[in-house]
Amino acid sequence: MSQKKDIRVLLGNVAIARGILEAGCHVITSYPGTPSSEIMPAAVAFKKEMGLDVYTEWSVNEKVAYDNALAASIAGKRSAVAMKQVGLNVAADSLMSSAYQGVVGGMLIVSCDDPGPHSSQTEQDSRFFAMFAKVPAYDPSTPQEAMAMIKDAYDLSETFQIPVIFRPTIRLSHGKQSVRLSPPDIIERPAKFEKDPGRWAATPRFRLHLHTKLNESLRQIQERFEKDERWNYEVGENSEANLGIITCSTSYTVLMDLLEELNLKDKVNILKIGTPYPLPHKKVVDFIGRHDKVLIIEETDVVIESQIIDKSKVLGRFTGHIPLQGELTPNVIYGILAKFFGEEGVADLEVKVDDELAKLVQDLGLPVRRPTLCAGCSERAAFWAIRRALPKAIYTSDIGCYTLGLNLGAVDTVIDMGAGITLASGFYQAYHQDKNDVPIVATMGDSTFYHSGTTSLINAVYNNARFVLVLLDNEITAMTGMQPTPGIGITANGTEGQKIPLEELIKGCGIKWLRNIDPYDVREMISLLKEAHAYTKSEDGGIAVIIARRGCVIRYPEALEGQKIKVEITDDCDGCRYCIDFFECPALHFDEENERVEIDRKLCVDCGVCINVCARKAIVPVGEEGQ
Amino acid sequence: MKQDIILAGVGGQGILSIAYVIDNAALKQGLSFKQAEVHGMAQRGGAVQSHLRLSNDPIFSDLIPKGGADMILSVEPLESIRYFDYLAPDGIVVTSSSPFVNIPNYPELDEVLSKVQSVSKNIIVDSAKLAQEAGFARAQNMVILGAASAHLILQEENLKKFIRELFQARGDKVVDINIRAFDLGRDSAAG
Repeated sequence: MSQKKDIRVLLGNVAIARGILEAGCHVITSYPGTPSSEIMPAAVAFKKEMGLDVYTEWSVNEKVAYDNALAASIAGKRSAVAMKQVGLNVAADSLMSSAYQGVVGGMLIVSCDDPGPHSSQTEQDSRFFAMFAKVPAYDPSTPQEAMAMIKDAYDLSETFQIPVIFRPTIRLSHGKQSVRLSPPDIIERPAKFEKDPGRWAATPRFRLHLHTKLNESLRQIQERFEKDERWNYEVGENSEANLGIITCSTSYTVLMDLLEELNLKDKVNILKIGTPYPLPHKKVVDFIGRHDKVLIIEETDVVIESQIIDKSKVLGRFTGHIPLQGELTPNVIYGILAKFFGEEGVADLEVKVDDELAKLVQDLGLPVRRPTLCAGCSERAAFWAIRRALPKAIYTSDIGCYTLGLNLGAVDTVIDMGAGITLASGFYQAYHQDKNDVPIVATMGDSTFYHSGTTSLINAVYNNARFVLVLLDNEITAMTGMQPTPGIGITANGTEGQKIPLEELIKGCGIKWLRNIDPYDVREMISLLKEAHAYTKSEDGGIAVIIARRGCVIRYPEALEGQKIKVEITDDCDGCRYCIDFFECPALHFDEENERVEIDRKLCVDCGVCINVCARKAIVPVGEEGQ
Repeated sequence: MKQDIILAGVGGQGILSIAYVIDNAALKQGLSFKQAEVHGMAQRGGAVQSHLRLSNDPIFSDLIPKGGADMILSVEPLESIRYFDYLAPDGIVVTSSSPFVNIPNYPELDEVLSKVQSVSKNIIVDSAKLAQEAGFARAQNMVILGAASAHLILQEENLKKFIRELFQARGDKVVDINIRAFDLGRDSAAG
């Protein structure tokens, strides 16, 4: 039977999802986070398209996702867990331990890195987690290579009974190209857990034994990687060239284009590494041995470079040849090559005109379009009310759309998932110790609260902290692309799961003061916030929680039907700019010529919240002017 | 034959729809192509850009170096200027003249357009007006794609095939409006 060629234009993350299914995976779990969020929806779409029986779940956080996938692999199935790189911090405890205990069915940990960073707190290199945990890492350079690597990664994982880290960078995850698809491998694996307490419930004595075995597995995996010409190979056979470059991931693709463009392909040999840990060290040493100098270009940190024992001929981050931070864009790599080839007297690349061009663009002084909450976002209403009600408070917040409360001056701290609450309790204790209680308002979104808010809140209640917590419940995980939450009870498959209402959860955390409000009602919200603050000060008080609930204006536009209030600006507008600077709705813009505010009808959703914002009452419902 | 294109605009203007049409038309013509997208936080109300690379020969990376773009294709005039440092010396700028003002300090439009005109090869079309004319204010992206079409290494029939495919699910009327928007953009650029 002839197979029709199936070639499609796919986003890197979609190709990764496809690769996981083609490899016969049975269980896939994930928590959304840029740049990984597209993997799970693509896996769900492909399993439906191909009629595969694959279990897929949005888990409440990365550690939970990890453990659920791990259990499937311990029971002999193939599993995958997908997250962004900082998600692996959350799952680190599971990763470290499971490296020792290993798996039975193959397990792939997809951790998407974000050099830049474009949408993350850090530029951390997930390959270091592979070294730290002592599990092998694959580092793909293109979506097509990623798909092929995934199959091999599963084979390796099962051969050595070890979880495997798969690390795409953002340029792969969000790069599109045409890829060739294959039919999925159908692998029958009924769940079969073989009891073995010495392994699955290992005490420290057994752990030493497991560690010994792990080290032996790594030695054998390294040997396999040494022989593997698919992922670790040389490009160019320039026997005359005395310079070499070792590279990996999307940096390899940028380098190849640059060498072609600069006509330098015959001046240098390339060693492309697809399995950076454990490093195929003999292969690397052999390559270095045949050259006078070898440059290491890897993103984002020194994972390959630090594994090379004899660095006498090696140039890289340790020698100042590669920047220690930031993405390795074509222009950055150009600069690296100019220095390298210049120093070695091979080529004299002009040090780029585009610096002038960049300066030219800079000199134009183009205004920045900073990210902002959408027009009609209920979180803007909530933040404005918070600023009005408690202007002197410390505002601790968290990761999500509402980080953009920064623009309204209602967010002072953003550290990591869950820290909106833990920083509030921490600040409370630090000030309380000095008998100097200050107002504190914590904000957190619904998905983040399910992710890591509950442990933070239990701790705060238990230790008698006092602050106001506003849960911004927009009934979706909005920032990462509208993934469902336990609050609405829809699963990754789009089917019904059990709803877990925030109210019950919060009461279960020991909260005695809990109120609900629609934040569009900003006047009521302001008085509620004052009431909440008073409770934190009262004799029998504690933590006051307000659930500010209104569905995301993008995800649930229908929620506004029947409630729309079309507004206009009257001549009472004196151009004070208060609404522009402190409410910062993108649908309000300042007409410099006439020195007054105007409404952009293309953006305005008629939420009517801004009526409350203008002290001069110059924003009114249409038709009510002068009433 | 190779063409490196910077796509630009503001989140919500349908930049990725333009990319979808170009990607698939390129694939249909047997070209290799690569595209870099921006997702996540960078999207919300902010400047959006995408790198698109088309070529007869294999290309490895989806990123265009600064000074290497053959075309800047922008649905917003200010956003076209933001990426001038990516433009090759003989590159062309195709942009809308309709500003997307969601920032308080948006410069004078004349000033912005004169900057665009300082590039020797430029095409400026009033995409807001033409999109209205086509029947849908938000079809500006297809107007701009039409305006650029004569300078793309892609055939018009292939571009239109994927415009149809993109909007098919929303009915014939939406398809027709977007095809009309494309035609109006193309004719405006030619005239």
